[in-house]
Amino acid sequence: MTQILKTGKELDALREKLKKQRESVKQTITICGGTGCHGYGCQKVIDAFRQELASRKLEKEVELRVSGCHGFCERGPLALLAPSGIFYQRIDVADVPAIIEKTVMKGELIDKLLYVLEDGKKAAHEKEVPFYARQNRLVFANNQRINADSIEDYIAVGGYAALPKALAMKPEAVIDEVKKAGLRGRGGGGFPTGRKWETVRKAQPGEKRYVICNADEGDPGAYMDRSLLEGNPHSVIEGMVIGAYAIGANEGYIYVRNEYPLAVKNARIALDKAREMGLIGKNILGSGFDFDIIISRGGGAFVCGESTALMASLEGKIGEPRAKYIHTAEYGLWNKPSCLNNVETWANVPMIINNGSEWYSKIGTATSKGTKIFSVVGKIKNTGLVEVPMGVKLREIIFDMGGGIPNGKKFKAVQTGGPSGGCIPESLLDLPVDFDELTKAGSMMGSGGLIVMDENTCMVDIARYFTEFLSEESCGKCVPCREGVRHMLEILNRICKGEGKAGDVELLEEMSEAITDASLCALGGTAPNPVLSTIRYFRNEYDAHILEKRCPAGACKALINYSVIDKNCTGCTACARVCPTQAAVATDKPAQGAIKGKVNPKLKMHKIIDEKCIRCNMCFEACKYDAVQIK
Amino acid sequence: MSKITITIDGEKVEATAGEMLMDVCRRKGIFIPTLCDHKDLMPYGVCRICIVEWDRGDWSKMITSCNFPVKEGQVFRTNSEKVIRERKMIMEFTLARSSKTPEIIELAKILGVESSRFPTQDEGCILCGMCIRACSEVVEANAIGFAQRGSHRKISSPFYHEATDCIGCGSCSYICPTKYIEMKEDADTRTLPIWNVTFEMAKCKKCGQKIAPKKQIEFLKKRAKNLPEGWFDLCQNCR
Repeated sequence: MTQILKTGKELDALREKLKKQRESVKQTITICGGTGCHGYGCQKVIDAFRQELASRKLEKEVELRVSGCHGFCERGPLALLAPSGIFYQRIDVADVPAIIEKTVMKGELIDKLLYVLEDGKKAAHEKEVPFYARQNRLVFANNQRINADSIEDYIAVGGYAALPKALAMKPEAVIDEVKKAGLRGRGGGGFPTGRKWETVRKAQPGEKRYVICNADEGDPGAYMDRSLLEGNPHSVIEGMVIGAYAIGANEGYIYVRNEYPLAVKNARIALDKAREMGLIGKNILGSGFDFDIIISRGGGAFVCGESTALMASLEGKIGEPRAKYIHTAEYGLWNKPSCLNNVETWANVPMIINNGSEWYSKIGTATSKGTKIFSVVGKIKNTGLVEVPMGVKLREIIFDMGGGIPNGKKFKAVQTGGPSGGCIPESLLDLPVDFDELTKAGSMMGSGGLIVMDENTCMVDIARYFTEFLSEESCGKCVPCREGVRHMLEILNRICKGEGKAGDVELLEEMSEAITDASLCALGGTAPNPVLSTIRYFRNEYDAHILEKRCPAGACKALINYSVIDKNCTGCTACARVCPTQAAVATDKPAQGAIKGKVNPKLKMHKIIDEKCIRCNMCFEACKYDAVQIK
Repeated sequence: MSKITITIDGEKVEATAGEMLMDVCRRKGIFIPTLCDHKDLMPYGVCRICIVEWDRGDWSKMITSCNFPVKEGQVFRTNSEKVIRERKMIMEFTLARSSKTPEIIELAKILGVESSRFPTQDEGCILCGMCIRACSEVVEANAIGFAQRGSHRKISSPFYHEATDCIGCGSCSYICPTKYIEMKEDADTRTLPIWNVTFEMAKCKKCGQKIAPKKQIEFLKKRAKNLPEGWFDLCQNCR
């Protein structure tokens, strides 16, 4: 039966008990059960472990934990063994018996499951893997230590310790602590969290007020909020309860995308458990403070990540933003003072209360405190989530943790801050990453998405891609965003098709001014960023498209042709076999290229018929002899 | 509300705290163009043509005057180069959408925009939302709304079917600034083709003149309870 906790002391006693239980387990195997690893089929691995442990009657000695995302999504499915600290990656169902037999029972390593380092050596432990070694995991740390659906695990690792501490403080003192810590909103804007809380606390005295968790993470490639809510929902809930106490709210909402089924499920389980144990609900831990949280599922509109649109959606209206001349902190949800923070922001709060603002404010830069979780995606070796202190250089994230660019390609740019952010070129890679530095470079922190691009990425095409995304996701309420962004897209489409005109770039810049300044919300206000930043740093690519009708990266289909380099073609027929339009065909001429040092003149040299070619790139990818070229 | 002083285009102006900047400007006879503001509706702030520059000392910010509540000491510029330049660009966007709409062409001319550099359309609706807001805020029928998003946004009856809550009052048509919402009447009926609705008209018991759609009269009867018996049976002239 679940214990209902009436005081902080009872909570402490329970924690001690759970800790001892945890310590009594001889070995644990923690499998990453994040959405990414589920994509790799980790559920089958988990089932296999369960079966294997059961058949060997090891269930009591070896605890199997299914945690949230570990962040190293590139190498999933992942397993962490304790106390040995052994780290296995790319695990297959077939590997499970061996892991139990050799590693768990005899302590032997299984070579093929170890991570291979740059120099070819193998890393047996997580801390030897550069991806992990250079991170500073504070918010994300517990993701690996707990069962994603277990409140007991969260309590055992120190969870809900900040709650009684905060409840014993005056609300103003809690706000003061958050202010002194220097915590800034992790959702994009970087607004000082403590100041927001203070405004909400003071607004409309005597009225009801709300706290809201924004889990409507919508930036393509960004999934740190999802991973937090999936893997450690209680840290978010604890942060919200503390925030609610500080501002005097009794009702809270988690607005989460319905496309995040596992996050919805785990948040729901967590709320039910917390309610059962009296950590949310009436008279929390005997403090007299009441607070409960309701989950509201979003319908998938990107714009609903904007605070006023989110609140409109919560109210049951169309998710469209309104002017913020009157702040939501004063008149928000149902016109009541409302404190909206993002998932990661809430998850930072317990840590600040536990360790104090002084400790927290020592991490990071002068104006951006704490750590930030980045999702590193795109043309990068180690796709995944990294948590680093603010101020780390982009180069460290991309090359040291991210492992650099795959397939020996060269780095070209990184898009920070999602679709409304900007592309940052190699010359700025030593930029310390914090809210203000990124803004100065013409981009923004956003929610922490980093999309890495290599030399084959066309920067005009990238700007076109993000502009298309924003044009489609614009709610259409105000003219500059609805009409302006659409016209920008139309111009970019023309440029990519080789129909650009002299003056297009200047027109784009001229339009950007009005769209940036006059749009109703930040979606429109930042929509020109991808275009402006690519013009700023990659103007030469625009000129090549417009003036020379050439795509230097070889990406814009209308501006490229595929052809065969005769001397390299071995006549292997790989291109002809994959070509969906029979554009790649054999000629009458004998092949000139050598297979394993030998030319076989019986094989025919191939060619690509341009009129039939749809530029799908299949032949280029299929050719092993570098005989297909893009010009 | 307390009296405050703000500065508009270098001149000190008296205002009431919380009053919308556009209203202050209008009182002073300062021209602020707008396509979505209406005195009987809540400010909506979507046409963005009413932008002005809010001077913050060492920096400035563009704001829409229709929904900006003024505070003591604020300084605004309604005709700076930046304001004029950005208004023109927004007007070009709107003109590209509604390139054949006389009201839009006229306002564009006033702002110095003769033509748009963007591909043009002939879309009569400028999505100012006045019809929907009048239906909701004034009539309180809530019969129509917006459908789709982004550049696909349109005014619509529910699911493009018959607007079952429409009472045929015609407010949407009267208020439409571009005369896009057509309302047709013959001897016995009123039709609003855009909402797929047709109404039978009530007639004056005395003179036989059309009064209003029967559905509208039923709607009004429920709300106006203190009127004399038979009030709605007669037309305005015979009452």
